[in-house]
Amino acid sequence: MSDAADVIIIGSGASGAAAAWSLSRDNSLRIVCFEQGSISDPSDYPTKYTDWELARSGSFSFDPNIRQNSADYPIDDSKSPISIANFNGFGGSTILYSAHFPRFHPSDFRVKTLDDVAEDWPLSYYELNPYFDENEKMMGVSGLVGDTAYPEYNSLLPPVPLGNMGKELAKAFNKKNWHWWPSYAAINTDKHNNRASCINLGPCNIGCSQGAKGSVDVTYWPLARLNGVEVYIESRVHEITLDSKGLVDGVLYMDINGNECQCKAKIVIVACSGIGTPRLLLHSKSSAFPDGLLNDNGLVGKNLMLHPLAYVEGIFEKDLQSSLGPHGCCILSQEFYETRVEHDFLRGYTMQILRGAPPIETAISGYFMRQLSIGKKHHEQFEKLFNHTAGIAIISEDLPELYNRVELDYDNKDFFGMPGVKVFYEMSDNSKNILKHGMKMSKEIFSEAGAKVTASFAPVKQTGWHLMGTARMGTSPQTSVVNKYGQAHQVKNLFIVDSSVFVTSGAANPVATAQAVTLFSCNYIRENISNIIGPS
Amino acid sequence: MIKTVLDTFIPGDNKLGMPPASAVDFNVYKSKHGIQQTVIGFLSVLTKISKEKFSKDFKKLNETQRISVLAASKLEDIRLFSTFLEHCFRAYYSDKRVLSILKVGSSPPFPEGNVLEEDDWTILIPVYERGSIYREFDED
Repeated sequence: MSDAADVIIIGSGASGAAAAWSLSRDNSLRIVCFEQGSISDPSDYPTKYTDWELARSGSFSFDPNIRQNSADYPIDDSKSPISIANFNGFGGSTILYSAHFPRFHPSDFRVKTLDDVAEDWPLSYYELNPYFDENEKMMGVSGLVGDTAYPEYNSLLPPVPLGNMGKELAKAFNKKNWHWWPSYAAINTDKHNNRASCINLGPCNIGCSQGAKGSVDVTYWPLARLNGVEVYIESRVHEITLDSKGLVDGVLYMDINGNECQCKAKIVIVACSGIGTPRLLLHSKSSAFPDGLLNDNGLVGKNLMLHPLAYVEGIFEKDLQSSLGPHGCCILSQEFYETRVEHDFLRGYTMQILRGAPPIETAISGYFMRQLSIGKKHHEQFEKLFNHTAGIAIISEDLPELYNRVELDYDNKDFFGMPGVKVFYEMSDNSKNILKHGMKMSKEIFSEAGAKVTASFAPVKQTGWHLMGTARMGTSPQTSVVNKYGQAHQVKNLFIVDSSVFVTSGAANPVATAQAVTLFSCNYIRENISNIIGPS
Repeated sequence: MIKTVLDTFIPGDNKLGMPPASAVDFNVYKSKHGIQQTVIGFLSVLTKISKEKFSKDFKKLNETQRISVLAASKLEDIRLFSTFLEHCFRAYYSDKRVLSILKVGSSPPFPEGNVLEEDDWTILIPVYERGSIYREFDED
């Protein structure tokens, strides 16, 4: 079967959705998005049931190797201390994310100039600023303007409530005279864009039945589809094809019925994540690119950055009802975000305060961390743990290293026979020193708050959500894959718009920046479409 | 035997009003999650250790002996022990009655949700008074 579109977008997640909406404002274009997974129905999310915690170890696990849905592909991360986390389905990983939405800082785009490490981005925070604003309106981002860790924000929805635990830790940060601020969260705290307001149930990361969490299936996609974007569900693109002039001319894919199909296009936009994007490029081999599409400089799949994360947990004497409220989002501190001369590391980290664990997680982690026994004392000990705990996650800046990479795994293939990926990743000394410092400072905060520290470790294995750098942007075709607009140096009608293009990782959750980069790229495509595809 | 095993892991607590683990429907949980083989395997390990250590069936042991058998089973096969323990906790702490006693807040199905107290943002005054902390530099 053959088909033709003006623009093909591969991947319906955070960046694919933003691209679809942005380009759909030009209603002369036929835009088709390919999504390898299916559509989740919010009314089926596990949050509707009392045993919702159980879904985390099954079909709603963030680990594709546990979940093993038909849309998932094998990821061998045995050579990495951090496991890859994702969700393959309509809306991508936003279905399961915690909706943290901080922006990168201005300094993140200038690390070479300021700290003589890695490379500067070919664009600046200030060039992205209008797209950050636009994206936050579309996604429905709550927070508080006036944060001293950032240039001014224009507007945000009201912040998520601190809760008693958040207040206790906020007071502790104040006593230390350290920065803290309510979390930036893509969570409606008021009715916004026809979506309901959050009701503080807690488990955002198994899908939000309320629709208050800004996953892109409920933010960008309804508008993009209304504008005419077509979504081919359960359709797996396995190759991007080139014409005789070296331009992309479409994709080959397996449709929902398992038929091999082709779709022609004038522009192809790749948005499959920092793992899925290099996988597809490396699998798209041709005489022009025998080592994989755009891989003539050997950089596709390299420089993988994962944001190594440390975790420190504290227990309060008081029952702070700490498990209530959006689980991941409470407050953050960027006191140690920027490089300081007195540190034994460059760049820095964000401290994110996480709410207390729900009952099953409290029991299981409590037992394995020796806070909770079986037998007679179980309930008494459980009572002292549940709703008394708080966590601090330290998200470190992860500098790019050529060794850290993804490769195709021909020994492990997906349900359609396409190779999976192997991840090779080692933490740098800089990252290790960042995490060590972050854990020390987190312990100081808990001590100031009067809480007892019960766990402290790094890196946390199951935290490879932030997949960046594997097709990075830059000014030179020798040292980068795409230019500042996400346009491939070697193939002018091929664009990459997800966090694969990140030059550095910052020390903040990447989705706000990834979507701003996508909108920036798509604005360029809209304004230059005739140059990109030639006269119609 | 399964009820005795479950209650050894999580006995009831009258003072706190918590039921024992055998009060939740473990059979339904077991079928739903397909863990029959895990349960059979774990029970047979307990039976074997009970006989080796005390020459009795697990059911006939006193509480101290039962705990010691569980500890020995952990040493013998930590993976099996941990898997069973996790299932026991999962079955217990997803039970409606247990969750309601624990006061976990609004339990699905909602719609009420949880009300969190409104915040007084004067708590941010010390942060604000310190002024800007992000790194400012000349882009040129």
